Amino acid sequence: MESTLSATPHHHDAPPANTGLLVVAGILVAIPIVALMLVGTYAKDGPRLAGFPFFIWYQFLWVIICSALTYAAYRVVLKARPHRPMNPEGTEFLDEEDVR
Amino acid sequence: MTALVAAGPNTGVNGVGLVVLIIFFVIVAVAGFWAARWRRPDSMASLEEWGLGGRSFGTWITWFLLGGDLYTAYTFVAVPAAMFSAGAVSGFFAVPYTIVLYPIIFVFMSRLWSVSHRHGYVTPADFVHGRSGSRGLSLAVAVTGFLATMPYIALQLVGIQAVLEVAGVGGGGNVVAKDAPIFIAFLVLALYTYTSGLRAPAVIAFVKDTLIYLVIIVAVIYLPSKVGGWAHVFDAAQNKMQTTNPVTGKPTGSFIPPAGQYWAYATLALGSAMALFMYPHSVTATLSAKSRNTIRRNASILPAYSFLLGLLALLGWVAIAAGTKPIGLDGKPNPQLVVPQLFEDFFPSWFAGVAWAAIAIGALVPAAIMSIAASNTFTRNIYKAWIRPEASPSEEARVSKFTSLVVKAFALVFVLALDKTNALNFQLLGGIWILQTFPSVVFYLYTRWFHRWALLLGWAVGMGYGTVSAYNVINPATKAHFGGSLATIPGIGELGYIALTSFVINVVVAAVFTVVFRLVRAAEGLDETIPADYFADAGDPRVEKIDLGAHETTPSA
Repeated sequence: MESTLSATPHHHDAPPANTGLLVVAGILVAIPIVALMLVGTYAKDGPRLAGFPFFIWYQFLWVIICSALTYAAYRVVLKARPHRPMNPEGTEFLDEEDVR
Repeated sequence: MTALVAAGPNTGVNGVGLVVLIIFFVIVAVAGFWAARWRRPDSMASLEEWGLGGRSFGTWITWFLLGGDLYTAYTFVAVPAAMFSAGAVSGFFAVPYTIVLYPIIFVFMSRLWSVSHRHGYVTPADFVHGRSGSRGLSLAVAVTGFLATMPYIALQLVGIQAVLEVAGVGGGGNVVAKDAPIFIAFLVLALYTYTSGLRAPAVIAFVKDTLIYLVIIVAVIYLPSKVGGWAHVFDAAQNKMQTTNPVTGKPTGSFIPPAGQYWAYATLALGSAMALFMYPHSVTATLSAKSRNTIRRNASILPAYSFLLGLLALLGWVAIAAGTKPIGLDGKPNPQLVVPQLFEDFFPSWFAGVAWAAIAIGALVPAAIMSIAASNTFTRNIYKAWIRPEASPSEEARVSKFTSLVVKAFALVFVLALDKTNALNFQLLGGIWILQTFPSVVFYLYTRWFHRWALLLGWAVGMGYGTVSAYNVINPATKAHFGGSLATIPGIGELGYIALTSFVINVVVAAVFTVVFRLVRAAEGLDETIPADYFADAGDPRVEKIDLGAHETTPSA
């Protein structure tokens, strides 16, 4: 987050985050988008499943996979950047000692 | 399916079905008025309460509300109709569209929720104003949102009309008798939206979604068995799509997208997904959630509706196997009638009534939310920003309530007085236009690197390019303009969704002119947000607005 106005004071910053975990969450939500944009990988009739062409049941399958991946990303994000309450003035986040 | 009531002839009035439909409509109307007392606030006289339900909805209410809001009657009518008449590229793209939608909103909507919570933003344009300090850019976002929402509301009427037409009402030469049912339905809708605000669609969404789930589950289990099983359904669809259309000399449609249409399928899905949460009504339903994580949790449970939509889309192909003849009361074929007609042909009358009620009520929820969102946009970003900066919260609520009536009256005139194709063309344009606000809304959630004037310029170029491209698409059968939403992508040479092409041009223009404006040191707007705002949650303090009036907080535009 950059500010074009002035040097941002420390207390305005975002709550601390585990960047590695944020990247993991980003990859989790990117997977279904990439998979479904590659139309050539699934635009075919066979193999059919219970009468359903591959094209149809594969996309239905992604509804479920996407839901699971998004939920996983949600859990990861909560861990990556736990919520920090703000002080009553709304100018800074409370330190861990204050929260406790 | 025990009490099989003999269905009347297709052309006549389906008495039993119609009575069931009316009963459900009355239940919903009572619920709509009662909603004003539900989670009753101290006062309804502010946009926070009337327009956002007090920002108080938890995960489940938000799930029903967003589901009721995003999956509209028009979707339920138009997607199977497209599958029925043109096949997978025109219809089934709705499935990947509503799948990739949720990872996309998972990423940025929680930030929009947080900053809106801190600053009391009600519309996307509110945020753009606060972040960019540009009244001009905010106005561009507001006007785009308002214009794109209007035909969307009108198309909800088209959904109700489809049901009424199959039920056998709305026919005849008499203009008053023809339009009376839809007029009454919209009047009642307008009145309970006026009194209850966003609480009305929130309550009705429970009824709507329950009915829709019930009907679809019954339909996908029962109907295929009646027409020879799913395998036969797909064979019938494949046969129909392969036959040559006598007018164009090309295949009727696509059973599975051929290699030349991969780009079309992918860009339609991605472009539509990126655009959906730029519509004010989607943002309204999101901001009514009570906490930052409500929307993230919802991103993982809302795909249940995508599953439903996919099954509904397939009903278009079931209708092919069933030999459904969607003939309107004027005697002309109308593919929009295919799903209601399929229900009438195969269900006992009383259950056909339930199914029609599901579709018709499915129109009322989004129509209510859209009119509320359009009114809030008008009130906040046009009335208060440009006409009466000193308007108090109760005056805002008054203006918004009144505007919601005007918006609905306008939609009614739009559909009843003008040719329906106008609404459809306008809706197609709306989808292209709304995506052009994506850079201003979403990029600003992360960075102020883009210059506000460059964003405005990019928006203008994207709008212009998109409008001209859509106009130039000629329908091969009717030779009319606005014949579709696909055009050749410059430089790639494949067919793609015009909205996404315009978006890319929009971003390139914005980036180039950002560099130019920085070089000439054009004035930067004042940012009223701080980085911490984008992570705030319920319970964190709201920013106290010093009542300056909009003109003083925004030095230049």
